[in-house]
Amino acid sequence: MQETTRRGQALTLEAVLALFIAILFIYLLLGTGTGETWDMRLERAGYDFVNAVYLDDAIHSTLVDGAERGTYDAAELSTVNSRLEQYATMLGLSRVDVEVEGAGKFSGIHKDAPEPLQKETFYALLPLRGGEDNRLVTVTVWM
Amino acid sequence: MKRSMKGMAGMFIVIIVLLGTIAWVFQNNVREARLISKEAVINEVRSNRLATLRNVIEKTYPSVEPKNRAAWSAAVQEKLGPKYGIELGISYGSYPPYAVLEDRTYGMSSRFYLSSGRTE
Repeated sequence: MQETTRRGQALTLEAVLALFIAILFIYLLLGTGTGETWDMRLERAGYDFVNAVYLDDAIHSTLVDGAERGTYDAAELSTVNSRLEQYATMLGLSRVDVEVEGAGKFSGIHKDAPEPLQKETFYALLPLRGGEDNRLVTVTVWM
Repeated sequence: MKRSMKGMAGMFIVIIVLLGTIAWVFQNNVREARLISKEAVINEVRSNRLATLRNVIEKTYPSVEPKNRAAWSAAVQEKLGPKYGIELGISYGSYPPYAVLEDRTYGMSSRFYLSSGRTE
């Protein structure tokens, strides 16, 4: 009888010990959690770039002219793409994409940057003909 | 020999229990710190988005002719606002007109006067 009781106690203690070891392993392996981070450089770059859409005359005037015509010619595409590449380099981005609603798309790629892993999207408005037509501009920054 | 083995087994159990408790407490503290840090980052991101939307409104308003202000307001409220998850309203009742931006999900808002726009 005593022997059975002692075996039962030993088994109970072993079960408790196994439980604690399991908890320890689970916390050590999974307790670090997922490393979801938000790169604030993308946020700041997005703000700066939306600002540049309005303050950079080369970009703004080209976007407005082409959007009012309904399409962008090769020279305009080249001008804006090269400006976007300069901004991407200056802001430390891998790539910048700009899309004007109903008109066209532009991309500026920083050639020496590594493969982009994160992106954020920002939006601006492009008033045409004094605000008669207002096009949505989608700006995507990659890092 | 048997007693020493029992003693060692007992010590082993105590050590495992202590390590488990320490790991549990440590992980709880780290988790709490991460949550606080994440909340701060989210608030900063939402604040940045609010500032970006405000910047777009402030930069575009001066180029809009008075006769097209209704169209511009509608575009800002219907196209831009939903993209940022921000409700906005523009009031022309006062001079100068002012805009109200509200991010209800995160309890942030911004109110500002629009600069003098075009008069023709």
